[in-house]
Amino acid sequence: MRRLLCIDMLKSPDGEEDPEVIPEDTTLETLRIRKKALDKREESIIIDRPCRTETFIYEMESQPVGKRPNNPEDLVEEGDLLLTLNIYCPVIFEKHKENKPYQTVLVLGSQKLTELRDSISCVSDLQIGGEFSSQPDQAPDHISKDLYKAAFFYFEGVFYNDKRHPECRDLSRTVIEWSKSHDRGYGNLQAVNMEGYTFNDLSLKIGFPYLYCHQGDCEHIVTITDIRLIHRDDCLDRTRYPLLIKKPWLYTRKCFVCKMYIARWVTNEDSFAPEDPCFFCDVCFRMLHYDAEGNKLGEFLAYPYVDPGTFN
Amino acid sequence: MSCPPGLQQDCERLLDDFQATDSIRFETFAQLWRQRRFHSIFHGKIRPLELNKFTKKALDLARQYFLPPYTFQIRVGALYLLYGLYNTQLCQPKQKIRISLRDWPEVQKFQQDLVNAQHYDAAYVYRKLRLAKAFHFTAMPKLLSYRVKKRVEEPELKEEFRELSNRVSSVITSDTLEEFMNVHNHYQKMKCMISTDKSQPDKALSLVKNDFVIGVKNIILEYQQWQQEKMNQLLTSKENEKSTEKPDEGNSQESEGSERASALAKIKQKSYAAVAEVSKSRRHRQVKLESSESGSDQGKLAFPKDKRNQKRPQPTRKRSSPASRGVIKKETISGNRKLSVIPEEDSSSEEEVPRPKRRRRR
Repeated sequence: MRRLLCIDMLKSPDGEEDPEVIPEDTTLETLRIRKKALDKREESIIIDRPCRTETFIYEMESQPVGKRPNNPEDLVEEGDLLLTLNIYCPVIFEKHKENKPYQTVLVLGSQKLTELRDSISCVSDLQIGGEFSSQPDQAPDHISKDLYKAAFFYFEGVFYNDKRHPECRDLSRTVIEWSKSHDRGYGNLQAVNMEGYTFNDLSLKIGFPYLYCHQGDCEHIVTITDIRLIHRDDCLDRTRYPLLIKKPWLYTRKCFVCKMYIARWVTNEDSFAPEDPCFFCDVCFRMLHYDAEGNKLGEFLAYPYVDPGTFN
Repeated sequence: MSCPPGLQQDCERLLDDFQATDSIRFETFAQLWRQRRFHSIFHGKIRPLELNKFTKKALDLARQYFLPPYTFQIRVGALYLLYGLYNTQLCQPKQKIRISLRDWPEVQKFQQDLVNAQHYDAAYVYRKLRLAKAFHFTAMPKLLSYRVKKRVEEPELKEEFRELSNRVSSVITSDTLEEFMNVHNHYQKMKCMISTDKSQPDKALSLVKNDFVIGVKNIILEYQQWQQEKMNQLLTSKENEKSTEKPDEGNSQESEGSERASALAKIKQKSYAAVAEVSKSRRHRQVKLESSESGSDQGKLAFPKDKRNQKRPQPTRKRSSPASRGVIKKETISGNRKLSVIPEEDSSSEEEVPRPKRRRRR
């Protein structure tokens, strides 16, 4: 068997080979095709480097690999499961028909559902309701995340409600009552508390769409794409999970005036604005609509705007 | 996930050559590998994200050959291929091989077979992979991804690598044959014990053929041989098809022609098969079914002209039609599904059509 050890050496190239260059006399089909593509690129592209989005995606995927915790108590145990979840964006746009943007989150089997709930970032959590044209400075006080804390997950016929805070309502109650009222063919739906369950307790189907609902009507489809055992090369730091490895890159709306900053206000029925609705960044908004003392000029309705691309 | 172009061909060529050498030694494989410089499949200025994806797909492809129903030699070749790809990949950290839960017992059985058959180099390779923690233990073999596919593409792996599925031998395995032998011997001994002459059973007690176990074994071997021969025949005819492209009569033309002819013949038969039954007084004038089948190359039985035998050939026709259907399928893979459906519909409708006519007369 010692002899076989050097078989490993037999596979390596005889001389120094540059992995960048494809040798001329190759017999492999893959390489021939690749060479053609590379030659074409050389002719047409001036600077050959990966585009920003690609680097971004790669970095996100690879940054947690191999990390170890500072505190040894935070080490992930050996037989733990690693689930990969895709959480899709809630709204259906025309342009999302083929590829709906989603986030990919890695979750440990021993983690509670509440931890996953806290890690999902949705733009509707940051919305501020209300018209603030008269008091533009008071706007950032009431984020929806603080106001409406209720949420639930729906897995396999059971609703897992978030009841950690006293003001959380049971959003699933309406659905359960509806299904019980007539024989709708959904069987018995149950409601339990989210914080008492970990992922190991659930029985899940891979690839089947489940639901996450928060803010009363903001619904995300959640699918599980992969379940596997934890591996030496994965990130073993428990505090980092649930781990985000893929974010959608969304285009942000810029201010109509300066076209540089991301919009923070949207106005309707505005006589100063060329279109309805119109987006402004904070500075341009105040400069256009308020005088030096902060008095409102003209008639308009203004709402604070949170762009979906804030998580980029 | 679509397969990167050329990757499947390269792997298949390598496994083809490995199969042709008829050996399972790692040295042979390593030599083939070095000849093609297979490690350079990862070369060529690939950016790290693309490299990750490519390596994953390559390992996935090799893994498909590693699991049943492929032949033993192909599986050993796939194991070596996995080893080679895993060690020569340029990704940091290395991409792993995904094996799903339901495939693990088979992999372990495979490893046990390797050790039992004393193929120590293959067992060593497997052990090395395990020690290097090259496997991911997953629930599902393929990592799922969600895109609306315009066309669902199924990569078709080579048919010839598959092990011939031998239903007969899976029913009568070597274990059951052994049991037969044991039971038979036991039976003979019992007979001897109760008969007067202790060394031989009574003549009155001989109700079973003495060598029926051997007979069963011979029949199974014959069947396997026949299956093997048929596969080889198919392969040679396929090769001939590929080599002759001219309009002069290569096997492909002939088989296409005969296919079409047989299909037409079947349609004709369907319409002519409804033979009206005449009354008893006119029996001597009964119209007989004549066969007008063209001679396709699978040796279909000719239709005997007797009406009495009409029922009997039909089951045998059914048996040969799956075989011919198999031929049709193998030679023209896509697009001829319609033709292959016809034989089955035909034979069933043929049987039904005469029966109602008979009932009506009576």
